Amino acid sequence: MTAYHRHRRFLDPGVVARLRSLPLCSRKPMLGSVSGMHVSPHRGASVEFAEYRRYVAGDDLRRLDWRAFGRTDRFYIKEFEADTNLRLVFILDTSGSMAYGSTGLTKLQYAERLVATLAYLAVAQGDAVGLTCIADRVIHQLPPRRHPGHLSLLFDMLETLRPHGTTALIKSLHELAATLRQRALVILLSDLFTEPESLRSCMEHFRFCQHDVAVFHLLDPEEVDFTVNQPTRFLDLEGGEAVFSDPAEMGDRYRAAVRAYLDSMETMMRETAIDYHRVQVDQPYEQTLTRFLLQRVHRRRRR
Amino acid sequence: MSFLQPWMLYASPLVALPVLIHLVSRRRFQTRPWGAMMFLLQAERLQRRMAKIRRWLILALRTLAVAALLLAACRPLASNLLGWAASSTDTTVLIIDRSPSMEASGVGERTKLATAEFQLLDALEKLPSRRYVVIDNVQSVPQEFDRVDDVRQAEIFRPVDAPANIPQLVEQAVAYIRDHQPGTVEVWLCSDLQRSSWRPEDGLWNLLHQRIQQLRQRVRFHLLAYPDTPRTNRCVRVVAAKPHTEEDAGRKRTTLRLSFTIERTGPASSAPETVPVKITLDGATTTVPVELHGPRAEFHHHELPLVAHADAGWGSITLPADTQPADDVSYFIYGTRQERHVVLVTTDAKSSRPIEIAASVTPDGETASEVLRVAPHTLQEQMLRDAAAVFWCAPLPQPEAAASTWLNRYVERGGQIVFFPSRQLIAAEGVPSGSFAGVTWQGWHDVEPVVANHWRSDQDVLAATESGRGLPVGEVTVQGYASMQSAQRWSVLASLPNGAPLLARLPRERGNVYFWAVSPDPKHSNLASDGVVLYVVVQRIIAQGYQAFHGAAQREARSPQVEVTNWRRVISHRPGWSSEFEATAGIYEVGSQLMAINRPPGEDEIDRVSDDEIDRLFADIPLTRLEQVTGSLGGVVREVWRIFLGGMVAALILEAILSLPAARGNH
Repeated sequence: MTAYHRHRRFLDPGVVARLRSLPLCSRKPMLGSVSGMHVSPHRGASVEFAEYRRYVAGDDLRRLDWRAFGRTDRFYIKEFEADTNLRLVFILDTSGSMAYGSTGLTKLQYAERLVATLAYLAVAQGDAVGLTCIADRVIHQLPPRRHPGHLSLLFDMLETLRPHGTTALIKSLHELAATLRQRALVILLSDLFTEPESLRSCMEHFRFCQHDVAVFHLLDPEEVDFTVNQPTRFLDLEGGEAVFSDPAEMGDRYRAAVRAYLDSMETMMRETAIDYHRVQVDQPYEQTLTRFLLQRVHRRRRR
Repeated sequence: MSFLQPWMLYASPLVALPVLIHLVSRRRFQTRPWGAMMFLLQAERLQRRMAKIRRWLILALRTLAVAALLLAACRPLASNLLGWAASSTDTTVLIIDRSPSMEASGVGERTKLATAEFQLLDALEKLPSRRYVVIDNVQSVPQEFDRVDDVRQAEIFRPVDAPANIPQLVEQAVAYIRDHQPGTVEVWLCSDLQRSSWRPEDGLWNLLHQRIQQLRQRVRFHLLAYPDTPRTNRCVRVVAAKPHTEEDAGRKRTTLRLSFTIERTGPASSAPETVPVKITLDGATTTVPVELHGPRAEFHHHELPLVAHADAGWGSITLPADTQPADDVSYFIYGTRQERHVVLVTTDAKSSRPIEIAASVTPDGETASEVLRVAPHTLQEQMLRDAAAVFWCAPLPQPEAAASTWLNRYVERGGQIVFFPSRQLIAAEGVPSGSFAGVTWQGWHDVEPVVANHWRSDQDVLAATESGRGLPVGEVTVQGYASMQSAQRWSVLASLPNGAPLLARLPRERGNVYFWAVSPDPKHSNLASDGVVLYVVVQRIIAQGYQAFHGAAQREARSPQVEVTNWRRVISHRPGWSSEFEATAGIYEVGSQLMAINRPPGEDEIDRVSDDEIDRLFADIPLTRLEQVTGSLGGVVREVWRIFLGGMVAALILEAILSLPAARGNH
């Protein structure tokens, strides 16, 4: 058995088979290297009519619309949409906080499933897939490639991931936004434990670079609902100082802080036009992906 | 704060129980990894201050609740009477002022004495003691009780008309403590602080200081005082009641000339007022309206018709009832006065001369006085028939001698005899073997000058004057004295520092026999040169004898000193016990004679001992002062465990309120 066909714990063939009928669409035109199923900012030779324009010297005479010339006695070039592939870049947060999971599945494991499934689907439709793992810095970086063998490398990388260290999300995102050369579909998978307003500049940076950004905000239900009910010494998974706390005394304020944070995060994402998905890890990831893919189909835009 | 069950305080470390539980529960926390630390830190930062305050508040309230429960179990008392150990008292001594001024009523018509009874017995029930000793101004000896109920049933809180001598009563208490050597002693002193009873100038207070300091026991005094005076009061006192006979149109008309005073106190004491005065004369009552125009009114020679040839009788004057009923009535008897006869039996006229001089003077200057000086062998029984007193300055008669028989008969009739050491005894010319009533001289002792250090200033011949000033007995200097021995129980009225009696009295059924251990000779004492004490003693003894022999007599109420088996009460405004006749105002028939007993004049005073004076009298002596309002039903000692229990409940409710929001939020 080759590495490609090896069983991966984060890849469920059944889920892949069911999701395969749904295309992974980009909300923005992509600059691909080959023909694909995504809209390109350039005119191409697809069957889908785009527009007429006046002939200028140097245009390919084969694209001249003779019928229009016959009716109007003017030269018009008939243009069609160009279809291209996209560059799908996963940015996966592997900091220590991603190791938390109260439902039997850690946030990182959940993210691995999302990444693997989406990567498989993207490669299957001819898109290039890359993976960047960040924590306090960029840990791993796998550039986007579209051949199936690259998928095996990506899976191997996923298998080696271990949550560790603190999060330097802002710095890493700015760095990645600056280093991605072409337009790409950037999917960020993280618990985003940072101030929403500090993320705003990162998101605007990506948008400025014409990237289509989607965010999977991964949260554990216990982190949101705070169902701890006895005095507890909380150890920081990212190596920070432990905190002793009595949930009976500060549970309300914790939940209020979470609510404020989530509201603020959602507002910020909406204002920066980010495809934002808040995901609790007790939800089936297939359902999450289905919703994600369907929403993108509906939001698909032409040039 | 005092506690009835102070041993419960040993459980006070339980107060730390909530803190301990808090610490243990903090040590039992779980440890778990956590990713969303930013929210935890944020929540901690937001609520740290308030939560800390609330946490400490809850802990404090829990501790408070436990402490309140513990204190309630200790049965705390409202007043700090007994320090921390209320239940360790061995003996409780009650000094009760039963003088007539304690009969003044206050709120709810309850008298001071009744209020004292309620409050004191209530306090004693809450402050148990192994023994209760009651000392009052009626009983001459302390009464012992084992239980509070016994004290209650003894009805010792009945008012009488005898005055109280507070220093004397305190001295009795100190003497009891010294003689019985109990453990911790609590002395409760109930009084209205009347100056005439407290006698702050009495030299006995200084001696009391020394004696209390010398006690080995832990003695604490509690003064339960009712110093409030009646707002408005009227008091009446008969000054004189003399029959008067005059001829009117050839017919003899006999009237009683009655002189009396009415004094008023209070804000309206100067306002004109008509008071119906009820005069009872030999059982017949007449009401006479009397006009009063000032605080004090004197009525002289108010004439009342008498039955012809009535030479003796009795009566009373009564005012309308007010808040001080004891001074609303005054009793009198009337009769003719006769010449005083005194017999001086002496073998040394020179040394007994001071006695002769003192006896020949009469205080009123009206009554004639005759002193018959005889030698022992010339004495005749006829001489003793009407003698007010016999002063014996000769060797004691032989028991079988006729003189001894005469003297015994004389005493049985109510006579007064005073024996002084004879010249033969002092000169040691063979110690005479005579005796009288079981008393014999033992010998003469020349000593360095000493003074009397103890004497009864509350009663008998050495009692203080009506103004409250004590006799200067402490200034009697003795350079020689005769030791005595008695086969009977006697009352030592004064004693020397070595304990030898200076003046002793043998109480008989009617009369009295006194023995002076010193001679008035200036070589042996200053009785003659500084003759106040000698003069007063001689006059008082003569007055006693005169009253015994010459029919009707006026007497001030005093603590019982004689047997009253032949006394019969004619009239009295209070139902006293027969054993307390002498201390109860009224008219009594003693044999064939009448006797009127009235409250002492000092009881009409409204002066109270000031706080400073009490501080001075009890300087360096542990004293708790509890000034109470007459008629108050509030206890002196109140258990306040309900307050602590309420505090515990309040603390628990507050704790629940503080804990409730957190619990709801958690769910």
